[in-house]
Amino acid sequence: MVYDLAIVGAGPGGLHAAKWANKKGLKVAVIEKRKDISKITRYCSEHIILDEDYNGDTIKVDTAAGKIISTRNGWEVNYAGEFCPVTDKYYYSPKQYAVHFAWPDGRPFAYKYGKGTLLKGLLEECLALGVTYITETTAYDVTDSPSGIELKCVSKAKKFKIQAKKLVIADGASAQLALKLGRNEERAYFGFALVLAVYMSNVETYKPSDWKGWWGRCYGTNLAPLMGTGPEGHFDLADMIILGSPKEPPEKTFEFFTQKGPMSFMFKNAKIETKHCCLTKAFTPIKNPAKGNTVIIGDAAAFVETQAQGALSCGFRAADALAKELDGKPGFDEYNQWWLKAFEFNDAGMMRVVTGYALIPTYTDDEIDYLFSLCHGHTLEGSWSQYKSPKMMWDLILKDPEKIQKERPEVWEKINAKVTRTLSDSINK
Amino acid sequence: MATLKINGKKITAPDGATILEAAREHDIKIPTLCSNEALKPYGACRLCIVEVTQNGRTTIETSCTYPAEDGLEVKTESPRVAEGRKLIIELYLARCPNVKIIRQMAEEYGIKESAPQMGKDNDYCILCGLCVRACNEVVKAGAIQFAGSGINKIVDSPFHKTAEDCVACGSCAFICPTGIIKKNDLPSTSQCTPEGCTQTGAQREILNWQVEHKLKVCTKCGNPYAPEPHLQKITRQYNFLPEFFNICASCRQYPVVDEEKCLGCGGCMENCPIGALELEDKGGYDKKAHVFTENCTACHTCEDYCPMRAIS
Amino acid sequence: MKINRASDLSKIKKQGLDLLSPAKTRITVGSATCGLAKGAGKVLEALKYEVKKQKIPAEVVAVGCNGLCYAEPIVEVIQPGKPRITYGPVTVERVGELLKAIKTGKAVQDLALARHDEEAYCLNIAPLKYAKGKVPAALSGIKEYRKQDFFKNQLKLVSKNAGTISPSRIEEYIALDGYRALAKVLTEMKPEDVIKEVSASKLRGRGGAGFPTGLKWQACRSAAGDKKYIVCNGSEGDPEIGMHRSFLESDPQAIIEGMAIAAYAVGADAGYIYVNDRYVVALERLEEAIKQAEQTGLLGSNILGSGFSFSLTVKRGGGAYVCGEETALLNALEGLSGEPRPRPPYPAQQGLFGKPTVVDNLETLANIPLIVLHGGKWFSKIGTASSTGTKIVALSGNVAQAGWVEVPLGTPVKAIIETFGKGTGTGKKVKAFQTGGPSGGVLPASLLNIKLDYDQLTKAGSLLGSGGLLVMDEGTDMLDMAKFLTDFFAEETCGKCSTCREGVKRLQEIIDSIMQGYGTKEHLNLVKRMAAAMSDTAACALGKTAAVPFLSVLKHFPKEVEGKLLRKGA
Repeated sequence: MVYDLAIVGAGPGGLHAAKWANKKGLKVAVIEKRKDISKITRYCSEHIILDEDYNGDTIKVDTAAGKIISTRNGWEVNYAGEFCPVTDKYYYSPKQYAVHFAWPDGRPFAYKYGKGTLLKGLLEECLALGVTYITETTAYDVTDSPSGIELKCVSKAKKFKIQAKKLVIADGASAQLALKLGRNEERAYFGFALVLAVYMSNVETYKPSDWKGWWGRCYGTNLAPLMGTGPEGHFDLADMIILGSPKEPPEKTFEFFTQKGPMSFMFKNAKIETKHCCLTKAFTPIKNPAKGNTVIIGDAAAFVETQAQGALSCGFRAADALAKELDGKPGFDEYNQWWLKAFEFNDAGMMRVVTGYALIPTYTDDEIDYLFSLCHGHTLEGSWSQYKSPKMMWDLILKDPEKIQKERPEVWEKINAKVTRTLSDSINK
Repeated sequence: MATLKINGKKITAPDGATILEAAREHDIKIPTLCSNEALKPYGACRLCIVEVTQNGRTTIETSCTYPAEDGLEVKTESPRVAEGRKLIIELYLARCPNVKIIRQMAEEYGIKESAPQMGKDNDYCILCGLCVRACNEVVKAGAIQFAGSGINKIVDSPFHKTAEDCVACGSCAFICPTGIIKKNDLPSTSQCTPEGCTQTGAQREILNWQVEHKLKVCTKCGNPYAPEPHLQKITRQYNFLPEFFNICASCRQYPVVDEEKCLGCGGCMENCPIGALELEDKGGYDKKAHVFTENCTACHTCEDYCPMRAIS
Repeated sequence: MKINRASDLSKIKKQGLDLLSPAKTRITVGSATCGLAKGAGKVLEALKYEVKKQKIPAEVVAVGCNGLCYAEPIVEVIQPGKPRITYGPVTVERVGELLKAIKTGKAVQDLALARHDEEAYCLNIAPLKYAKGKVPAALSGIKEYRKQDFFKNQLKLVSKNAGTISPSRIEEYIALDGYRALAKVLTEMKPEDVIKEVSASKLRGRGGAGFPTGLKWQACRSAAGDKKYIVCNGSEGDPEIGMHRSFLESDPQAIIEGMAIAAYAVGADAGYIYVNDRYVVALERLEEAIKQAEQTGLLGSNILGSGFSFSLTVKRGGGAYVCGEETALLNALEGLSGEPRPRPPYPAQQGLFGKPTVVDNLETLANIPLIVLHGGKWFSKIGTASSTGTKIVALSGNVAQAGWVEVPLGTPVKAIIETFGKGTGTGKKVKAFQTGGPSGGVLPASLLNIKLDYDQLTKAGSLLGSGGLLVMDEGTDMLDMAKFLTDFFAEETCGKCSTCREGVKRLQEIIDSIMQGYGTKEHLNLVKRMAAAMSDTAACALGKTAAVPFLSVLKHFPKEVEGKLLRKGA
């Protein structure tokens, strides 16, 4: 049987695309490698980000009604689980100088939520609509030809094929099917990071409403260890997040951070409840993810990630694009245009800015202390955005450039080398 | 289970076993030439004959084919058996006086030579059929068969020409008890003329079937290791990826998942190029990675990508 | 016409009877291969042509062989109200004479062999009366068949139709009680009842081993599995006989009916008939007969509305002697090399394609309709206590009158040779004879009184086998005969097992040595040793009996062998 639409991946992107494609009258099959998507075993930080205009959208959360709403892209999803508001973000230097982000009125800039609960609800809706759901099946290869698409699948070592007219690839950051289609050749690859997340009880100074990060080599790694809210149902647990690589395994860093490093005191009485991990790849984004008979959505087409809300938008819009395409209208062009405009990472200028803000390994622990000391005591706007937060921080640091030139000329040199363009941008704006 | 007697000794045999299998389980010696545990019993050499008494009837049967049933009384060295076996060995000696295993067997049974009244040939094939059966039953290439019939029976390739279906696996040479099947693995050579040199890659020839095939070279260690047509056949048969046999068996290492370390994040799964890794639900929250090695090409990607270094 | 009720058989029967003793003259020509070889085909053509040309109110019909092979071409004439006259040998040149005699109500006296006033071979039904009223003077001089040795000493049960009916007319078969047995089985009997009758008959396989047919059927019926097969062994690899060929060319429906009944009894729904490919005419007639049976509704699905279905396929064999062995035959049917399989498992448990299969000799199956119709007990009273029923015996070699006859088992061989064969015909006395084909070895004239009986013959070192009877007169060189028979085995061995393949080869060499004068006592001792070992260790009966021809010559004609041996000091 040939489906109208095959979707690889039952994540937020894939399921949202399935729901809306089905509503538009398409015969949809979702292919998912896992058996039970309601249990998240690939670590995800599980936040709804409330920054205005974040990746082209402003998301609203109705905790009472249990809804997550997109004000710009026109969708809303039901969420039957709990939310935990995140109100304060701290970046710490080796000597504990802090860059603090928070809204003056204490309102959250992000919500911790349960992605498993969200997906469970979405899946139930899809199944009720009659979407074909094929589990425990990995689509490991794909061909896209004028006559349609064919997926090579394997389920418990048995191989078979699935054919459809159109395809949504929503298989996540590893972008395997994009690779098979040759779409990764258009992208630059920066490598991957290994992520270890440990849920722990009795961590001193942990507050569910906080998001913290520690910058400096003294903490054991070039990639800042982070601590966020525990998972849905266990907001009381601390979520300790360590990034690493094959050469610097995150387990080792975790051991150091919790047992030997400067923050080890937090973990004197702490107990490890569960561990999770994931790996995430960094490619430059695919510029035109809708091509041939295929739309690549979500993390699979992004620079690292679109986050759940971005994926939901992608799925929603992709369904619309596909219905249009099957009707002979240029839905794919529309999609690609939206995609380019919606996500920050598609903006080359923005990307240069972001890379310019990197702290490590550019600055020494002492230099980081100095830079953060310039922010210490101030509170910047509540922001989750990895684009906005660093900009606000550097704006604050660079409020008095002469002071830095005078007190720490070598630091000033470094800043110039890295942040030059952004400085002139901000000065000239 | 069946209970029977062999040479007066009471033994038990599992259901479906033959007398030969039961005897060998209990270290009772019965000579054979055409039996092999990988192949269906054939009953051609007749050396494994035993005397079987069942329901009051006594007959001579081949132990490799006769089922070990309840109540059988088996004699492996009765006078009738001994005489029969002696004659058979003499007949083999008459046919193949210079074949080592025949000479060895004759010596073991105290037979110096075949009866002088019998003619003598100098054959090296004992028509045990092991090569034919291996080719047809195990390799399933069907490249060789018995040809001619009766007294003129031989093992041959179709029409005595190059065996088209031969994949040069060498199973026939391996299993042949007399060594008459000649398999040679030749290294790569250059043929140089004043005009220049041409390379011939490593190849295997099986002279008896007039077959010559290229040997596949391992991309990792550079050694020629197996004939290409055989690898192609297996690739088709098991639907492997075309690159599967680029690595030889010595270089091929399959991933092993340390389930203590594995957190079921699926990173390996996401990055496996051919879906050889799946997450097995081991109950509750835990999902451990499981490798289906028949699809795995040992490319090491999963090892590289595991955050917990759980794959080696 | 197609029938789907047993009661409709009587309609076809009436049609057949009208054909057999019609309102106009019926002229039959014995057109089995034996007759055709002697020119019966030309005689048939000539008769048809002349009858048409002369506008004689007669029908010329090709029929099968009645066993009078020595007198072929056989022509029989049945004029309405007059006895049936058997003529032979009728050559083309004499056709004109014959037709003149028919027109004038006379007979061709020098060709007339026998006269049938009535056809009495069908038991329990009224015989076909040919002669109505007194026999005309012109014909009364011809000896009535029941007064002739050739006919009166036979018990024609299985071969009752051969030579009388046209093999191409199913109506004629049905007229002489054909398919009444199948109808009875399908309407009145359960499969177990059929097996019971066959067991009660004590019928033994007519192929060679003489295994009780009832036991074989019961074993197959009891075997697990839904799919079962019936296989008819019509391979007839023996060098000197053609009975299967003859039978299929004369009365193929009998085999079909026998197989259908066998299938019903064991629970099979499909059957195969394995026939030598060189039996061209037999195969044609068999295929035709199968088609007719299907068209009549006696073969195929839901036969006679009983719910029982049976389909028949003809398979051609290459003529290998070893394929007469039932497991080699099964291999050949499956498209494999004709080599025997190890037993156990036996075909009744695992046969064709691994399913329970009954492999029965053609003649065995031909007996089945009779046993069903007249009862196993009736059958068991014919022949001897251990060898019940009749046997078709083909006489060949040094006999004055070659042909085939059907006699009750237990008939002494001497009687068969003298009564039917009328002696050697060469002026010389009988020296030796052979029954059962090459595996039977030879027996000396001193044993001529031996009865045609499974056990007696086996005890004498021979076997009943397929029923060939080869007669050798005193001019026969027995060593030559031993060589001929051993060469036959060397030709026919499949070569699978070492014993037979190597053994037969060496036997040939030994016989050659002896015949060339290089033989010694050691050669003879070796043969005795080989015979014992081959009998024990060979994979099938061919190998087991390969040494028997020479051994039997050695045993019964020792002087002929020893006389050729190398004398010490010579």
